[in-house]
Amino acid sequence: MCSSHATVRGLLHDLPEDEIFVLVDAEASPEHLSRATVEAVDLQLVVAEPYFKSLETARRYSKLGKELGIPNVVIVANKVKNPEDEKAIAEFCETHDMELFAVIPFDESLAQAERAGVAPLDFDPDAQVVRSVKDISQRMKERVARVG
Amino acid sequence: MKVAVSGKGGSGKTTISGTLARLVGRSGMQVLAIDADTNPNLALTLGMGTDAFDHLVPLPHGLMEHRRVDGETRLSLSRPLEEVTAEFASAGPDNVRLMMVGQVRGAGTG
Repeated sequence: MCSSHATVRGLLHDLPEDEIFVLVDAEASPEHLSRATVEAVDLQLVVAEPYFKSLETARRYSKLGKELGIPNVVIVANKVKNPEDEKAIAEFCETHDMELFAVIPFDESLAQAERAGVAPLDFDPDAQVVRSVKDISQRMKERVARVG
Repeated sequence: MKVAVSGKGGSGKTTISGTLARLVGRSGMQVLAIDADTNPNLALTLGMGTDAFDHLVPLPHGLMEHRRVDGETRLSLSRPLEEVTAEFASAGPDNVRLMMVGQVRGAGTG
């Protein structure tokens, strides 16, 4: 286990900043932060669902990411079903000094894509979740350039 | 740019990771997606199919060696990055290459 984290950590340091876009799908366990596995990234997207345990996890992961020195740590709210959900997340983020960067609505087509065994983007390129992630892809470069 | 996607299990981070990687790749940039989850599912979300998934080989720890970089000793690739990605990153759709890093090789192997 230790060598796995050290390998990812070293690789991320070795990879170039500019020529390519590097995306790491981290494991659910907080070890990717406590072992400094992802310390070399420019941006940490912390995905949170609108319920307390998920938000608490996001709060811990954000804190660890900031302690690690990641320059941009932001929250992506996911599976948001209604304005109450969105409000609850926005309030939690404000209380705990977390930046709510994007809100992705709950998308029924994901379950259909899952059943069909295809990527969400291939199942329906115009799906709500795809449009939301496209918005993130367009704004994240500007967000990283801003730093902080 | 290097981006990490983290969150509680089931939060949708792999769905967001895979879709984000492909949309950035579709815009013309070369993308290296790294599945660092010990229960890896990124390949499927990228749309690479179960056949590709069965042939993915995790980056061997033996390719890394301890080096002193910027005043600290850490693991670093012992071979040029281009060689390593050519051998261990699999081509997916939309300019995305996928590399598996940190997975176990089998039950009881560590």
